[in-house]
Amino acid sequence: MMQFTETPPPPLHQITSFSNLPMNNNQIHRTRPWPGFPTSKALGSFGDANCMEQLLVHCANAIESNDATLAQQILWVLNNIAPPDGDSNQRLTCGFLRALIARAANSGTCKMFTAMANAHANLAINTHKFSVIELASFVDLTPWHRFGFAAANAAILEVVEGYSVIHIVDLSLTHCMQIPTLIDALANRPEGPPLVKLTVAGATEDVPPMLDLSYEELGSKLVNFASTNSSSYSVESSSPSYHRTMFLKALRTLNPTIVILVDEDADFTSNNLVCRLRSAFNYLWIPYDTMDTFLPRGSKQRQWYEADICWKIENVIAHEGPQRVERLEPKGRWVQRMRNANFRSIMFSEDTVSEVKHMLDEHAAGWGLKKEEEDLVLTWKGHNVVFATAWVPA
Amino acid sequence: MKREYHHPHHPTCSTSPTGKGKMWDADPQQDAGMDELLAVLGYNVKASDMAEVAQELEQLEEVIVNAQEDGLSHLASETVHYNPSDLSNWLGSMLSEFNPTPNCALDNPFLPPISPLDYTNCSTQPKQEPSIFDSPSLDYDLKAIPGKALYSHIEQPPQQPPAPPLYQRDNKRSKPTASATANSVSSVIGGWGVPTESARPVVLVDSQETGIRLVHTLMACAEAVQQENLKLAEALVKQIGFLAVSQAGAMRKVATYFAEGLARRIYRLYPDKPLDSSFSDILQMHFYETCPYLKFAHFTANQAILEAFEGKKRVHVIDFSMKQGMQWPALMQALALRPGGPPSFRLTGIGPPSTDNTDHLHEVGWKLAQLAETIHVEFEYRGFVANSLADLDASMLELRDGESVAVNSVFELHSLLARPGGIERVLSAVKDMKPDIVTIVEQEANHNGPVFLDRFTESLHYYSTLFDSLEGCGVSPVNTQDKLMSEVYLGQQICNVVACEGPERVERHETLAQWRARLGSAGFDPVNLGSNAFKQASMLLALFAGGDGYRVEENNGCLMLGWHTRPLIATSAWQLANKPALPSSTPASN
Repeated sequence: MMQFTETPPPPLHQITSFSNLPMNNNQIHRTRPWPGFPTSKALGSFGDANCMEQLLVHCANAIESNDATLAQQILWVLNNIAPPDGDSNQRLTCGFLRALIARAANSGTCKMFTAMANAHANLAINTHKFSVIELASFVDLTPWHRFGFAAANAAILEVVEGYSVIHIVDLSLTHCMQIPTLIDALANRPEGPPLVKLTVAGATEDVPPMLDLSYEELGSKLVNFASTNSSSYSVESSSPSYHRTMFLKALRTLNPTIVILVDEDADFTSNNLVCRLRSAFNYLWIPYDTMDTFLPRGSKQRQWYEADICWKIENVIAHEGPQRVERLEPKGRWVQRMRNANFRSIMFSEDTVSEVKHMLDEHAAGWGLKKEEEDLVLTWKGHNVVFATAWVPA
Repeated sequence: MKREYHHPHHPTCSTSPTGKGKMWDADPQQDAGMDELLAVLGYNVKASDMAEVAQELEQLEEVIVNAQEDGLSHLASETVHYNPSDLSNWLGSMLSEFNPTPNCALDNPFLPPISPLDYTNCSTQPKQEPSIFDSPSLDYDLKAIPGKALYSHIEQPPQQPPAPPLYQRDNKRSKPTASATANSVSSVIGGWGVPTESARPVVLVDSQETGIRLVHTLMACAEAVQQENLKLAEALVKQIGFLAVSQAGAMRKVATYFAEGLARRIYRLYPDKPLDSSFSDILQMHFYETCPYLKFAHFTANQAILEAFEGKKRVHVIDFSMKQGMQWPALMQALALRPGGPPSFRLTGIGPPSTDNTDHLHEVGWKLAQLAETIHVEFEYRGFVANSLADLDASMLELRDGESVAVNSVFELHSLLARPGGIERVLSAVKDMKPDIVTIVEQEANHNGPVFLDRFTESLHYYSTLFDSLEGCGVSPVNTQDKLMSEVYLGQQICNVVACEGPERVERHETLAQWRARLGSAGFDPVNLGSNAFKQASMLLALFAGGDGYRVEENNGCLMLGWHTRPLIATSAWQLANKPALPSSTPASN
């Protein structure tokens, strides 16, 4: 019986000599190397997130190319290194893992038995239906939405000074959470409250965060709230066509006094799965990272929040066609769209900026505010999170 | 297809590998053997009558073909035929249903030769699913076969387009079932197609029962071998070969491999010494790629190892089944990214000597070292060449203090049962390695009983199920090669189980229950694999298995993967028993 010992692994430059070793049966012998990692990336002190991203990318590629063996191996690894209750990187990776599993399950080549699906707990993401109070207090917890609300409300207030009739068209997905503050501010104008018509348009009811009320019910609540502030409000909802270019053209024909456009600064539009995965991974780490600063572990709100993020991840990764609704576009592209639709951008006033800064002071230290030309950008640890832009007809 | 019809008394055709021609020599001694053979197969006819029977068969065939215009549906359902085992009378009754043509066109080049032995039972009362279990003439308890394995089920589809002709003819026969179902062992019906490698075309008027006959014949042959009636066994094994080619898909392959095993046993042409190890590694790689069994083995074993290594800073895996090291990249990656960072990872790979000049244990180690480099895991590798695991001694492995040891064995332990004391020595050596976890994967079957016939029956069921499951895998051209090699891989095992004895018979599979008893009495306690492992295994199989029938089962803390209701492999995990075995607590029987 023979034995031999391997010396410690050779430095990288010797690897080429290894590959020159004569290997019989090379042709029929299909070796399966583990997919590699670009070593330069690993130089950073926090290589783990990069590794996880790389594993997710390899997994996505394996699924797309029907490489069942590799996909299974990587899924096994991911399952073990990304528990749903781990640190923020692990939870982020877990969300993507579940989305990849959902994608594999949706693809024609695999068969997902309901029995098996049940055996694997929590494949379906149960997103929470917020009550109005819950949602209102939830959006107050971080600047994520407050930033846009503050910038928009401040800009609107400035521009409607002197008008007695105001029509607000609210196109956001946050169920008018912005509005009560605005109503309050309008009610306290020195010249008295104006007549306000609020149109809520284009909102769907099945994208998180989800409300447990219909828009009709929400509208009547707002009206009630407004009337306690001795203003007159009417609310109606309508559903315009959703195609962005057409929509902006239609918007332009309304000749609005001001348009505030606020959105998350990320690109989820690529048709290539891996590109989308990378974009989404490199953006959605932010909500997971911020969570520790305002939501305790195990809190219900944290569960809700994470479930909503998982919903988004799954939508971006596992769905195609009309089902994939999370098609964020970055600021640059929206700016271009608005210009094409004959709007020009205007600056937010100094007052607005200081309002926003004030608001940020109430939150954790990692949040920041950046000015990019006329636009305002909310940042977390220096990374762009949400942008706010203001437009008038050109 | 040209027909060669020589003489009414010697209906034979082109050379057949089974040497059928010999059977027809008008030799009384041969006749007696033939009579016996026919009797075994259930036919009430003498060899000397066969010529006449053959002639009548040809007439019948001619008549059927000519009756095509009117369709044969009346044959299929309403007509009653008398006692098919009484061939002569049966034929007579069939012929009297028609208006026989005066000329049976003996020299018609388009008619193939007929072997009456292949004239299967054309009983046309629609049977309920005939099961070989139900046949009263069988002594075998084949009830162990679950589901549809080896199971002929007759469908009468409402509209059946005629199948392509058996041979070049314009007249077509209606085929009872769709060819799509002919692939699985579970519907042994596709008897119409003649594969090109067969030298002998076959006439099967009703091939629905050929599959059953095939199984009967296999069993009869094994029984003849068991009883050392080699002459009968020889006759039967030829018959098997002949029947097997009329089947399709898994049934044919399984039957062919078993026939080969039987033939080798009968003629004492034992298989060569163990294959070139790198070739058998290649076969196993293809098996790995084609179907989920090995993958399941790896990720269930790895799950146990990963969990056992939690919190340990220095770990050492001793792999009895190193081969191409396919199991380890995933484990190493999981260790690399585990919370708290990777441990230092040592791997000792044990394998047989290679018969070519490559040192594949060495190569595998190099590749894993490269991988470890890229994922930043401190890695050390040692390869051990051993003719048998029983040669191992813990002291050779240079075990170190403070190391957490895992011993891993995938499909390796059963071969130790071939030599007395082998398994005991190995288990004792494993204990000396002081492992924190021992992972064992074995085939879930008892192919090691003392009686040949029992082993034969068990393995026939087992490999039929296994081959059945393979039919679902490998659709694309690349995968077809994988599938083929997988079948060769399994065929090697079949051959070993059937043809070999003594130390050469290494495929001595035993069931989980048997291994449990062995390991228990050797001083090991079971470690539950956990619900996490079960859920993961189920999920991964659901996503990627490639076939609808795979099932993961949990069995007292162990996990099994099977096809439909038949478990085929089992993963179990073990640790050293805490207390030394006291005399009073030693189990009385195992």
